[in-house]
Amino acid sequence: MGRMKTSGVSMNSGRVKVKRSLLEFLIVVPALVFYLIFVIYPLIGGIYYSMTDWNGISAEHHMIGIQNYLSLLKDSHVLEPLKNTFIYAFFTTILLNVLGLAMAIGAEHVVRGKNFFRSLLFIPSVLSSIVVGYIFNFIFANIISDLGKALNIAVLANNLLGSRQWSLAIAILVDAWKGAGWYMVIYIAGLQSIDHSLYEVADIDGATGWQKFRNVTFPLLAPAFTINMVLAVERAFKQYDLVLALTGGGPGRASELVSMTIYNESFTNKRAGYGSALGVILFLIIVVITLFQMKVLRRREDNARD
Amino acid sequence: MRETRKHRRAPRRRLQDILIMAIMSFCVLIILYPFFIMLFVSVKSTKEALISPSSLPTEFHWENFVIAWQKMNFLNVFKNSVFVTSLSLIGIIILSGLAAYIIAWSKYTRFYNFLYLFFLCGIMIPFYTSLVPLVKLMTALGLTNSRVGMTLYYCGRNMPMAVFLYTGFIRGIKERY
Repeated sequence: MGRMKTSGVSMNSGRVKVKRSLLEFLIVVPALVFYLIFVIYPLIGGIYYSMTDWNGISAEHHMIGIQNYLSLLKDSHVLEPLKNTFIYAFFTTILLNVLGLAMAIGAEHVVRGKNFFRSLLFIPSVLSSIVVGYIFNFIFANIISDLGKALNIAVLANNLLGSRQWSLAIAILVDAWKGAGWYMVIYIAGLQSIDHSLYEVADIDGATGWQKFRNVTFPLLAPAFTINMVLAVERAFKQYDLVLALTGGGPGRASELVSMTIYNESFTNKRAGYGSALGVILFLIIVVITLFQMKVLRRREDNARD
Repeated sequence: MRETRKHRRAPRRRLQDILIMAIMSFCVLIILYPFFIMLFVSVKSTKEALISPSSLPTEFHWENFVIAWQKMNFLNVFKNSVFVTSLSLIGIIILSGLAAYIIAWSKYTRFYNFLYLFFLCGIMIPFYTSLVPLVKLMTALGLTNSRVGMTLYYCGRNMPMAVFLYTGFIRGIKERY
């Protein structure tokens, strides 16, 4: 796919090249501009404010260097949400990927109505998180409690979301309910890209269903797996609306995530600088985890390709 | 392309098919259960909704919908959503599509790879890190309390993910060549 030069005269090729590359870049510029203004600039602003003692509303603030970060390390109120968020990310990633993969395989293998199942299973992920959170709040407050009274299980009878041990677990389940469809779609795309002749070869060799999955399907799904793993972890760390609507942070801080802590510190507690520092730390955590994941999973992808 | 099907499937395959169908239908029921609850509760009176939420409704209070519509000012709200969504969608698709095309196809791979990674970082930024300076920025630009402002913000906010997905896709096509 060579590129054709507009002018055939070799003397001008240097100038034409520069013009073309400039034009090329110009096409990228609008997207870049939007990105810089609405994403990068606030990020830099966030980093800046994280080093001040701004309280969010007053007109003035002072630079205090990394003091916010140091206090963060010592703050016990931050540790629990941080722990919660890691637990949340770990379990939702696993659950979402397992469910998504299972649903994808199921949806691909039904005899009829593939599109029907696919669309229905995908619907929850397009709902708004807040709505989902409130609906499940209602369900757990009323329906499950009725169920609990009927079956005489005390844990269920009181609102499950109000118990310290279970609120985070329920939040994980609800997130899985909502998000699985999205991951299912990506896995379906991955499954469809697998050459069917490989399955026939495996059949000839007499492989059972499970063996086929382990040796043909799963390795060739590696790219889809990478994308899903990375995106799932990121989503979990950025989760806010769903858990807020569901439990509001849970009894005490039982189901509070770091994103909620940032919001509370910045606005409710009037410590915007502190909140920004936490936000920057969150960002760094996400970057490190994502890079680590991409490295590990990419290598797996390359191995799988052979 | 699709697997060739024998006309009469062996009995064992049929059992498997039925099993899969049953499991999938069960999954769909579980996934859609909250929807059913929503539907049932929405036509119940308040008292009935709180007393027995999960049962089939005995009376149908259709006026609940009318009340909700009016209280929510649904028409206006919906109009706003449509406006913001459609405009920002058009903006995102066009701009990120163009950018992704250049990133995937350009000969200056090193520069555009760097640009790609730059966009990638945007995906990893949690919303709340940039919330506060964002508010200041929008106020300075005079975009608060405006649908146009919302649209512009969404364009910017979703640009990195869109560029990421598009570039991956275009590169996939490029490989198949």
